[in-house]
Amino acid sequence: MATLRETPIRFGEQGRLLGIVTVPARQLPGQPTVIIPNTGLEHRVGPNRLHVQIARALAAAGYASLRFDIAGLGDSDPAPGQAASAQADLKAAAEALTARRLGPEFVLIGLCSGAHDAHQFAASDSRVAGALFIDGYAYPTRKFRLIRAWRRLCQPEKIWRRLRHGRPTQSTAPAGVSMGLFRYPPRAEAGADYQRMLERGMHLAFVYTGDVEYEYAYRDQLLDVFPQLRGYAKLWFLPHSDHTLTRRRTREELIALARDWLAGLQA
Amino acid sequence: MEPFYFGRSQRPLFGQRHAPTGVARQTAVLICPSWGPEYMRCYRGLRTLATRLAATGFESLRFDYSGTGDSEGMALDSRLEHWLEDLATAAAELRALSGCPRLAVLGLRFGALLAEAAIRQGLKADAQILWDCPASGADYVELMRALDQGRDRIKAQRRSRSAQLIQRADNELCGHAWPPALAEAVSALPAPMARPGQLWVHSSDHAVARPTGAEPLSLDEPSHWHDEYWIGSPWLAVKASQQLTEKLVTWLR
Repeated sequence: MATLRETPIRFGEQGRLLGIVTVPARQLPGQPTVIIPNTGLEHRVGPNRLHVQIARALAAAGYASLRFDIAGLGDSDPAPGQAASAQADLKAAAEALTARRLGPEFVLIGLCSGAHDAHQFAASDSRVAGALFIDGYAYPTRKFRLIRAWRRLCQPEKIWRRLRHGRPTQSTAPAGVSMGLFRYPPRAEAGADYQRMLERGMHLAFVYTGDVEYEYAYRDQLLDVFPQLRGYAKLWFLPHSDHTLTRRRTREELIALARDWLAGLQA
Repeated sequence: MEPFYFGRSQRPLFGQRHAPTGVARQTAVLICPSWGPEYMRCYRGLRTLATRLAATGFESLRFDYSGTGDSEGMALDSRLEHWLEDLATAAAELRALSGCPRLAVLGLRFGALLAEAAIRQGLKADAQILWDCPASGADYVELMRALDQGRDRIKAQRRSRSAQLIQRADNELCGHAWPPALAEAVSALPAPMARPGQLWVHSSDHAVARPTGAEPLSLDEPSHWHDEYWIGSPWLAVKASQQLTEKLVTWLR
């Protein structure tokens, strides 16, 4: 017997958005539906098919999900005459799911620009019961600066390379930022958002990978920046993983973390 | 554009039907994507192509091979013989949906090699479009390996010693499953044979020896298939889609 069913849906104004709904054969009652927006400019399949694997693994554990293309990406069209808005698209996704009896609460899982989109939507919509941000916002601390300076000293070949070849031509900013997809909000604004999310009873989880060590260098950096998250948010640091989870083992690790975190919400 | 699943119930395939927006032509175009990072990179670009084709009267079908993209299946179970069956299934689906008497098979990169193999196995195609077709399966696999190693090298240089990426498993390549049987079968894919009704399309930076007498189309844009930086960036192929569509309007008349 099939453990899940995948169905393409068109939704939003004039059906301009496209996504795949994954529904388990046995859905856990009363559980939120997971929404996965795009990562960077890649379509709903996700980098290295990550979003498909997350959706299917969560379905096997009893959770329904929607992975979809925001306007202008993959198979989705921008609204005519309107600026692209991931927030409007996430709202349309939540409404499309609710109309299919897959609401009223949602959990967002976003990587990179997807984490930014998830954060902005979660901050403004009370239907969001939880969010897992992967390589989302990161802000420096004194400890971060010390660690970074120490690592540079420990790798003189990097300093030598920089002296010989100059700054790398490829930006070291987060991919989504360097592509102009999003900007980090000021630290105080992000902190106020997290505070409101916690007060609303939202469940928060964060994952940082080794590819973002230039801005996130040690496990508890997030908690040092936002102490209000301590004791409330789940946080995982995966220094051996890269930003797009290129290695299968790291994808499996992330998927297990997401599944267990969701199961913990139920408990 | 109509998204749907089709094919065998054990291995449904995800497809996107692009029906013609004006007067329908007599040839439908089956679009066979590439694999792995090239598949990801060209997704939106092939959609652009299908939209342009539809606007000029060509019905087309885009689809994902089993175990890839939105199609059913675990990537680790991928087999070349499954993908050849998938291609034949998609061709039959497109013929049935469009009612067109003629079928053109358009393959991009690995998709061109796969379409060639399907035609050798008996797939009936009235026209074959090979877009930046690798010289052979072995050539394609060698490039993917080089790109994978190149990207690893860049990451290793950027990351600190304490945060190195874990080793790649033997059965993965460029972030995608690459089981040994698949690797062997893809590596054995031969160079395309010359036959009537072939259009060889190549980007400005992609030189490949085409058979004598084959119809050529030189695109103005580069495609950067060999660049480890570009391979992770989307290729929208806007001008290439326009040039190719204009060519097909006359060539498939």
